[in-house]
This record gives sequence, C-alpha cells and structure tokens, in this order.
Amino acid sequence: MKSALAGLALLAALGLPFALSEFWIFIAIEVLAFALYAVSFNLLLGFGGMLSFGHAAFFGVGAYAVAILWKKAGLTMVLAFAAAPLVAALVAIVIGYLSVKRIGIYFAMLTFAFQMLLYTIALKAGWLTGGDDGITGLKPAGLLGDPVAYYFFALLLSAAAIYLIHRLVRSPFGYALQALKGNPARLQYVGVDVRRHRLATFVVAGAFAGLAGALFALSSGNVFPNWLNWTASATPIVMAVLGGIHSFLGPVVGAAVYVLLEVVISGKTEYWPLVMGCVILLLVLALPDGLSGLGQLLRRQFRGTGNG
Amino acid sequence: MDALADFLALHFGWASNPVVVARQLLAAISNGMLLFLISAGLSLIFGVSRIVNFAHGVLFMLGAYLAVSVAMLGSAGLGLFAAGLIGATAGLFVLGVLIESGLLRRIYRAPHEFQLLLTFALVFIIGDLVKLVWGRADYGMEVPPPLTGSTQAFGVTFPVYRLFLIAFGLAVAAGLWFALARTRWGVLVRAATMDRQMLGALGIDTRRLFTTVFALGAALAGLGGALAAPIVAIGPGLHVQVIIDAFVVVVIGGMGSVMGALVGSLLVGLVNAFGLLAFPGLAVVLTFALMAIVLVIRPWGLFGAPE
Amino acid sequence: MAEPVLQVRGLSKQFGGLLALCDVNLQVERGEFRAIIGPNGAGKSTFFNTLSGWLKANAGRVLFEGRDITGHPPHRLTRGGIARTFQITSVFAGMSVLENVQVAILGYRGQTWRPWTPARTQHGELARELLERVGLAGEVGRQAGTLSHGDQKRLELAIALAGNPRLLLLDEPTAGMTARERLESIHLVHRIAGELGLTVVFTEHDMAVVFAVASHISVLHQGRLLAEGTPEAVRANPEVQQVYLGEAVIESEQRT
Repeated sequence: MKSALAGLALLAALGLPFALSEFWIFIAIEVLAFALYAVSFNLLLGFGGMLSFGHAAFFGVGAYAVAILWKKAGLTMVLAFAAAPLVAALVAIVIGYLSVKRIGIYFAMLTFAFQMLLYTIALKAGWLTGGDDGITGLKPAGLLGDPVAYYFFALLLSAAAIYLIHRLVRSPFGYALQALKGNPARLQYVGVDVRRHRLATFVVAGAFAGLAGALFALSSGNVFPNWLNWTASATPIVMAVLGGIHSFLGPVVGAAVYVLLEVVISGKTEYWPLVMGCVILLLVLALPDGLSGLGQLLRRQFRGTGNG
Repeated sequence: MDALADFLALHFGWASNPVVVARQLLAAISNGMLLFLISAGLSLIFGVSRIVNFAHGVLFMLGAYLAVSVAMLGSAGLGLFAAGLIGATAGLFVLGVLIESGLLRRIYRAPHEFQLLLTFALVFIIGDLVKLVWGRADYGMEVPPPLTGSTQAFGVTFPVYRLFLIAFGLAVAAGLWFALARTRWGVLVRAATMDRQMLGALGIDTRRLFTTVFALGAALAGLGGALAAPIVAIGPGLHVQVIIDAFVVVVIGGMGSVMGALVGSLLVGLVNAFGLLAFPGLAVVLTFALMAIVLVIRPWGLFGAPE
Repeated sequence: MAEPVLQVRGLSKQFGGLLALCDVNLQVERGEFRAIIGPNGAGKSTFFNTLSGWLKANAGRVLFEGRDITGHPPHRLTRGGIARTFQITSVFAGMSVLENVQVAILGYRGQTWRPWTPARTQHGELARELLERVGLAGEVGRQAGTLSHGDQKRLELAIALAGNPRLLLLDEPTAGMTARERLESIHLVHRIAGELGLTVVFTEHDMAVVFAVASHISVLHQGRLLAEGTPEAVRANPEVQQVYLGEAVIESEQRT
C-alpha cells in the first residue's frame, strides 16, 4: 500500500513538469530540494532524537560552497556541485564534534549558535561570500539551464538521496539510532559508542542538507546570507513537525505544504511571517503528530463510520 | 618582527590612548548592562521551565517601542521617560503573564521541538504585529534632559546617559540578587533550577512560580528595551542582534545562572566594544569565537552546572 | 591457578565531600555467582556503577581477566566481554522484542556501522534462540515497552547475553518484583549462567534471593568492604549480623 502510493507519487512527479508553467516548475524544484532538506533534518530529530536548531547551517554551506567554488574558485559547475555536500559534511564534522557531547535543548542551542557564527561569516566576509548581496548569477548554462531538465535533475538526486536515507534508517546503523533515541544508556552497554553514532548521523544529515542547499541555489540562481539566518533554522523543524516526524515520508509532505503555503500566502500579503506564526501555533497546540497524525485520525474516523 | 609591530600598530594602536580606552570601556559596560537585563530573564526562564524563549528579543523590541510611544506623548523630560520605563516594564509583565498562562503552560511536557517552535512562532507574530502597529520606519528617541550631555572625569568626557545605564543595571542586578537570595520566591526559583523533581515533591504551586518567572523575565526584557530606546534606532529588525547576543551570553555564562548572565554580558560587551576597535570587520565573529572557546573548555558555561 | 575474572583494587569514589566508596578490594573467580549486599546507602549502587564504567573512580583499579579496564567507557567494557543490566528496567521500549535483541547483537559485534543491508535480516535466528532461552519465544513481535515488568527483566537478560559475555553484572535483578517472582527470576539467571559458564556479580537486597543462589557474598557497609566469603561464613559473621540486625527485624515484620 505504502510503496504503491510512493510509486504513484513518483509517476506523478515524472509527468508534473509537462503540466506546469515555468513559475510552478521552479516551485516544484523548490519542493524537491526542501523535501530532501526536511528528510535529512528528520534523520536527526525523528530517528536520532537530536533536535538540531542549526540545520540551516548545512543547507547554507552547501549553497555557498557551490557558489564560491564555481564562481570564485573557478571550478566547473559540476565539480563545484559535487563538492558542495562534502564541504557541508566537513563543516558538520567540526560543529558536530563540539555539539553532540550535549543532548536535548543544550544540543539545540549549540547548533544554533554555530549556525549564527556561519551567518555572521557569510555577512562579514564579503570578499568570499558577497556579504549582504550574496552571490548571484548561479543559473546553470547548457542542458541544466532548461527548467524541465533541471527539474528532472533535482528529482533524480532528491529521490536518490531520500532513498539512501531510507536504507540507512532501516539498516543496522538505523536500528542503533532508533535504540539510541530511546535509551542511550542501554545502548552503550551493548557495546555501541553512542557519541560517535550521534556524530556520524549529524554528518550524514549535514551532507544531505548541503546537497539540498546546492540544488536549490542552482535553481534560484543565487544564495543570500539570510539562508543562514536564525529564522531559517525553524524551517526544517516546521516542515518535519508539519508532516509528522514519526513517519519517514512525513517531512516530504510537510515540505511540500510549507512551500506551497509560502508561495500562496506571501503572494497575498506581506505579513507572511504572521500567518506562518499562527500556523505554527496551531500545529504545536492542536496537531502534535502533524499531517500524518491527522491522516491517521481521519482514516480511523472513516473506517469507524464505514463499519458502523 | 617588523610585521608584528605593524600588525600591533594597525590593530591595537588605540591601546596607547587612554581616552579611547576609557570611552570604549564605558560603552562596553553600559551595553553589557542592557544585555544583562535581557539575558538574565532568558536565563531565569530557562532555569525554571527549561524553555529557551526565542521570543525574548521581540519582547525587548516591544519594550523599546512602548517607551518611544510614551515619549512621543509630550516634550522630552524625565517624567515621560520614567513613565515609559514603567509602562514598558509593566506592559511586558502583563504580556508575559498572558503568554505563559495562555500558551507556554500547555507545552511544558511536550517535546523540545514544540517548545522551540512555539516561542519561535511568537517571534514571527509579535514581529509582524509591531510592523502593523508602528510601521516599518525607524523611530529615534531623545535622551531626556537631565541625562543628556556629558561629564568630565580623569580628563575624559563621559556621556551621562551611559553612566546612568550602568548605575541602573547594577541596581537591577542587586535587586535580582536580593530577590533570589533572600526571598521565599528566590528559594523556589533556585530549587527549581537545580532540581525540578524536588520542587514537585515539596508540593509547591509551581504554576504561580512559572508564571511569575516568565513574567519577570519578560518585564526585564521590556525594561531593557525601554532603557535602550534613547541610544538605538528603533525598527522592526531591532530584536535580531539582541537575541543573538543574549544567546551568546547565556551560553557563555551558563543557562540558568544569573551570575553567569552578568559576567557573560560584560564579557560580550567588552569583546564587542574592543573587537570593534581592533578588527572592525570581525567584531561579531569575535563574540562567537569567545563562545566557542568557552564551550570547548567548559561545555556547560562559566557558571552553569553540568546537566 | 587460573586468572581471576574480576579484581578490584583499592576502589574509591567521592561525591563532593561524601566518600561513597572507600578502598574496596574484591576478587571474583571464574564461575562464581557473587552477591554484593549491604544495607541501604552502603554503596552498592556506587560500587556497581563504578565497576561498570558509568562512574569514574577517584582511585583504585579494576582488572578484568588480568587486564586493566579502569576508566574504560561502557561500550569498550561491553565489547570486551562484560555485560550489565540496570536496576530500573532498561530496554529499547519503542522497538519490538526481537529488534531489541538484534540491535544488541549488532552492537556487541560492532556491526552497527553497516548503513545499507536491512537490519531485520540480521541475526534473527540467534536472537530467537536467546529469547527462547529466557522464556520469551512467544513475544518476539511485541513492542518491548508493552511487556510486563517481569518480561522486561527477561528481555534485559537476553540483551545482556547477546554479546556472549564472560562476566555478567546485574544491578538489583529482582527489584520491583513480588517475592515469588524474585526467586523464579534469579533461578532463571542462575540456571543460564551455569549452562553458559558465566561469572555473575549482582547486587541484591533480598536475603532470600541472595542465599538461594549466591556462591560467594561480599558485604558493603558505609562504603567499605565489611566481610566476604561463602554464604555460611557471611551469615555467621557477627559484624554482618550487627549491621543487618535492624533491617532483618524490619523485614521479618513486613513478611508477617
């Protein structure tokens, strides 16, 4: 049932660009990038029990990496793009090493602080990052310059990356992660080095967030320091919680809904943050299991009336 | 050697000028005091409820807006200024009570990500409401007459308002210290910060404690905003730098510790002020570097207890 | 003579100003079923947690099969052949009973770094065997957190056994059980330890349990080792009687 649904969704995704205008193709690419971003975040939160409040750091680093390596260091676009997740992983090793020693809200604060450090660098190191103006002119030339082609490129990478994360979650590593989330003390006493597993998870999640950032940067054609700003770190949390952190594909749904909401609402009012704030309040106070929880509830309701 | 001398002359030439050093010291300490007002509240709230209130920056900003609105009611003077301070403090206290009892109370047992998102939603909501009420333009506010001008000491000119800020901040710090060390409420706050189970076991009305602590924290942020109003540009982006600095302060000082907030605020004030002289482009990075160093040496902060 | 499985030399642990353990010396030979007893606050838990690497000792050494393991982190001790259980039952509540044991086997063997093969295909047979041994064969699919307290204790035992340990440390293995369950449970451990040739060190406050199975007993009192020997010798020791007199009276009152 689930895999049938996933197959159907994939089929729809394949046909999508032929039914959409260019504007909406770019929105669809954004959804793909953010879906990967949200899934990589949920690898930390939903499966590893690690609440990172600085995940935007890696999305931003991936985006800046492709921009700087391509436009400033003179690498080819493809090489720069391939290097982006690796750069994000390297940064994740450093930040992770300093952060995974602590858990819960302390971990959240540390990751947040390091993200703000990167934000400051993006803002102040103008010679490297373009400062306030960011780096623009990142639209790929050649085949990938065509929105439909880039859409398929993004679809392929995003789907492949999400599949990799899916395999990881169900692998022995993923089992250990699940055990770690529930009972780290016990896990140490079955011979698992909990801190190193945490760090590895953090690095993997960082690398995939970097890939998502690079994907999005080449689609939007630019990167700005705001991608690293503090409000950016709430985005993956909202997406994951909106979709439901206990479901593997929940964050994908959350990302799609979030992006579409933003497009629709910010087209109607400049007070998009106000609306977003209210949506978050509603989510937190009334929908603790997100849309997937709501879905389950409705299904149960539906079955209940069908039987009775 | 010449390169080193050049480097020192370029970046630390100001150190041989006592007037510059003294003025910068004053700026550092007075800014540190403002920072203390916010971070003390942030830290207290965290200590008792284990919630990181990301909305603390917008509460500070709201305090500044309230103060400037009161000041615009008439001509600049001590009376209106005092009214602004009191209004901002009281207004934020009431808002604090409302936020705590209406929203936060529902999620103390929820996972961390919900607590985080909730205070974050408040940032979006209050931030936009401020734009709706006051618009997007910056407001400026005059220093009230008796506190304008400057005074001479040791051959250096000091702005009076900066001295006033330091005195005021120290007075608040002393008051806080007294409340925490010498009152029953303070005993409860310290008990809750150290061991929450104990508090439950003592059978204390934790609801009132949580409400008062949050409201006090909000009031301190409002007071800080009102005090900062005459020396900052009051605009919708005011909260950003403030919350980030306050954050760095509590991470350095240790979550839950008021003493840590004080020391951390002064440290961040100093690094900001002198970093600006030494490495103008890198001042902000320096405070983060300071934080990173502290974290590596003492992961739970200078005055925090290991969890 | 064969190397002792466990040697503890001059172990001390301080909390702030409080000396919780003071110069404890202990030697456990292969195949022993050693009980650590003592009145409440005697330092049993501290001793246990220091031994198992959860707490860092202030002084002293711990040797396992002759090798110095002082200060080794828990995962290293465990991989080296020491397994432990917890006083408050500690399983992976969100996972199934079978998955609990599978993840334990993967952990002990250092296979949790495998990122690709589906974990449910790993060590299923072995995990089932272990669950059968502790009497949980019928519960493999249950979510661990929904098991009864006694069954969770059994599961914890299976988790501990999953790494083929040579030394098994049990912290209050019968805590929270009724008197009958306690004996049943400790006899299960005793039987399995005998079958597998394990050395067992356990803390326990129920004397009926201790004297039912222990081959040797060490008595802690106020952080010091008060007495040591066979159950008969310890029972006859006047100092031990002195220390336990108060508690024994209370216990016998509770039983009547």
